[in-house]
Amino acid sequence: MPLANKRPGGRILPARRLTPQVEPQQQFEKLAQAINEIYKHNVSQLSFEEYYRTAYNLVLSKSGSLLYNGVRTVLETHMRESVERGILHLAQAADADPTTENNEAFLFSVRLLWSEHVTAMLMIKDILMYVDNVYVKTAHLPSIYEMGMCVFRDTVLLPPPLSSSAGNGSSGLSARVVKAVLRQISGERNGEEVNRSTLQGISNMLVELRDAASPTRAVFEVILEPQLLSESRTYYHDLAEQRIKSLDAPEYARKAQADLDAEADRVQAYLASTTDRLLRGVLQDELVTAYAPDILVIPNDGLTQMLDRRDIPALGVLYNIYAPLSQPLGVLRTGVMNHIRLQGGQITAALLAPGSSGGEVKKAEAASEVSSLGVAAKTVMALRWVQDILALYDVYDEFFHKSFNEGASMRSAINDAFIEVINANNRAPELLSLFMDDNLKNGLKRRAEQDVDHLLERSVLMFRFLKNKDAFEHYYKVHLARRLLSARSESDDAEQSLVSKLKVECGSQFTLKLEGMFKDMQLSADMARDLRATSEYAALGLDLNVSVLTPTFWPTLAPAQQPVSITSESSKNNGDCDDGDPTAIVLPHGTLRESADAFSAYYLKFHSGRRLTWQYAMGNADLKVNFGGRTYELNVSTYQMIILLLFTDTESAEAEAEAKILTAAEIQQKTHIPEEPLSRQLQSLACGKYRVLNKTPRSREVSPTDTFSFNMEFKSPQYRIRIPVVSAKNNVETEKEKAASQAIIGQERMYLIEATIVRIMKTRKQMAHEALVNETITQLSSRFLPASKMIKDCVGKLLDREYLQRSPEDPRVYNYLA
Amino acid sequence: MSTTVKLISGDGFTFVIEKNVAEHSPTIKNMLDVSHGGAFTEALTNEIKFPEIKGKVLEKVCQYLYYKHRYAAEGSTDRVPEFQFDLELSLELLMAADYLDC
Repeated sequence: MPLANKRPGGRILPARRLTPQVEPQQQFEKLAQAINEIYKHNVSQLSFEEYYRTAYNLVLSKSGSLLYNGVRTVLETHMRESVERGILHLAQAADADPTTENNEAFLFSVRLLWSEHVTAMLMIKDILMYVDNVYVKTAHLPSIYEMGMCVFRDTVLLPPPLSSSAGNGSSGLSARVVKAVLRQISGERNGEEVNRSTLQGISNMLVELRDAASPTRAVFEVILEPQLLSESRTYYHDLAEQRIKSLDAPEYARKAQADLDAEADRVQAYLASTTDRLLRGVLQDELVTAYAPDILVIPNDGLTQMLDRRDIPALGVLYNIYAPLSQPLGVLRTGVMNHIRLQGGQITAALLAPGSSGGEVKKAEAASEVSSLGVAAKTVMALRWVQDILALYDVYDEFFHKSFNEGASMRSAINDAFIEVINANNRAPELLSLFMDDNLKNGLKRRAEQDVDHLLERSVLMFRFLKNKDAFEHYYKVHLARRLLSARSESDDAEQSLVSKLKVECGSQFTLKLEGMFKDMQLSADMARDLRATSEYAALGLDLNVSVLTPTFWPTLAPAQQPVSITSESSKNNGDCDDGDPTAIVLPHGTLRESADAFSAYYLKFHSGRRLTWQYAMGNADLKVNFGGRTYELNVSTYQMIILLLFTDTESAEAEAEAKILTAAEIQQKTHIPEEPLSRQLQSLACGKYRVLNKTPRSREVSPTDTFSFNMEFKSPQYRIRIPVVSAKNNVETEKEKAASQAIIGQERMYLIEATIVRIMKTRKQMAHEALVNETITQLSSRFLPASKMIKDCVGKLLDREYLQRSPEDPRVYNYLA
Repeated sequence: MSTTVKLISGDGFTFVIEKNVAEHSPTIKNMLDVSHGGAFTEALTNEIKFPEIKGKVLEKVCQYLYYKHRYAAEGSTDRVPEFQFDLELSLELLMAADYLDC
């Protein structure tokens, strides 16, 4: 009560006692009695005020220490008597015969004494509040309540070794309490029913009591927890040892998970919350970490079998127990990765096996002659490789989502393993592009839209895993060019969508050329429409379709020629801007030449300053051909058309077609078709399924002296006939083609590396060799991994050309020369 | 359960005040407390005898408890007037305040 009143008037009255003064010792006896009454549950007969006043008076009469110590003695006596009266015999019974019931009775009695003590102390603390507020504060002692707790600890549980208060030889109950609790826990682990609320009470008691030596720690941590942990360690150590011998991996994992759950539940129900982490640590050590590698290789049912069996729930449990621990998680990752490597390796081996068994190495020289059937079969194998790898990925993707809880470390493990598997096959870029090619050509119509999306996404995923993205770009360009020029692509949407997905992966630089190809096709189609509306076009008498291609976008289809592909219907036309170049292909027929010239003229009218070069290798034509009275419509390549027209020409001029015989050399000389494609075209005309030409001799090989004549006897049940053209289909490359592709890719890489080095040096001006190599690798890593040897070569070339120079001070450092 | 409590002075004066007002004194609050599972006679009878406190002083105590109840309420923005009492009582009031811990 604030007494700040300074009103004048009157003198201050002295505080006089109303009740008679009593001896301190006598007063204390009254209090001691009251405390005993409180323990006897006779509170209701006591007047709070009376005892409060007694304590108050004792403190005021400077008898605080008498009171404080007196209370302690009363409490100690009471505790000791209670133990002797109500607990000791139960403790001895539990010692002699440690049944669940005896332990329970003993622990229950301790817990009861404790809870009564706490209740009593709360009331004692209240009536002695004045002592706490005044005496305890100035004497720097524990509060009455804390002192009461210490009395319980030191009298009932843990008498200090030299304390006389322990008295009568009793060593305290702590060891017995701990033993009983551990026995109860072990009983529960073995399936016995125990009274959890008693155990909870005991735990709470031990948590609330502070350790005498280190008051920040609970007695629980000092006496119970260490023993609990070590006992649990032994228990689970033995259990794990036994289980690893008798259980398979799924069962082991399930049991371990159940144990972890049960112990967590136990801690939650009746142990200290701080124990949770420690006890789980013990279980994880003994059940998981100790056997992490062993569980995975349990012979009859380990990780391999679980993965093969696609046991999603079991893998989920396995992951759950492994995931929180870094070392076992690493083991699991490695296990999964190894299995992916194994499975992926088998898929790759299946691809390679038939090829090598066919003795291809021996036939390497004749590789260009590999029959189209053989190549087609290999293409099927190649497609299956991609398909199988993707299917395998789908399997692991499902594990990832359903078993591995979408954990980031498993994602990276799966992806890393697939990156290895895919890149271990050095044909992966080609095969992937082929796979996309096949699906864009043939596959889409059979699939629903979302399947298409999934397929494309998976393809792009595999693309992401490729290290040599530039090689993929090379193949993709070649395959895309063929799809576009022979109008084989099934869905523009799918094509565009795929390109835009690649763009997301690699940036617009990567897809620039691909998009350019689409744009060329679009522009050509627009121009064809305009051209058809003109009168010059109507005068040609044939249907002409020309694709105008920008050379920088398109792969080099035939060396040293700007590609212009022509297709025409009804009558076949290959145009050629023959400006006297002796290597240019010669168009044999007047109409064709006129058409080509007309187109050139038309085109150059709109685009002056450009140069058109005709490119025949990719075109095709529909021809109506009369074989001795019967007419067929032949769909042939542009080259084949030129060859056939040689015979027609003769016929019209001399009217003796049958007699017209040309040697291969003559055909070559008249048409200027390069030797290799020519012999392939002649093969398909004379040796294939449809023999439009007769060949002498009748062998498959074409030599310059072989002769060809028009086959007037040709017959076929169909009216429309498609002459197969080996080169127009996207197949697995032969060894020779592969070498050529490698050369192109290698050349491209050199350019890229040089450009990158120059770009880096332009900004840095000066750089040490190592740093330059590393920076170059970093910048190019999204496309391919350059070998440092290659970079070194490029630096050498740039030094020669004086883009760079070695620093005069340090030969390991380069300077940029502007 | 009664909402009032009877305070009786050493010289026989009786003051009946509201319990929640009386409990502004921690000492009185403890006397009336039943939350520990046992009730002292004061809590059972709602009657507290203060043999050491005179009626005159106890009256002031009651006034002070109401004063505190009125102005100590949390969030109260009222201007707090000075608590008035006779100077001659000051020492006894001081003792009572110490006793009642308020």
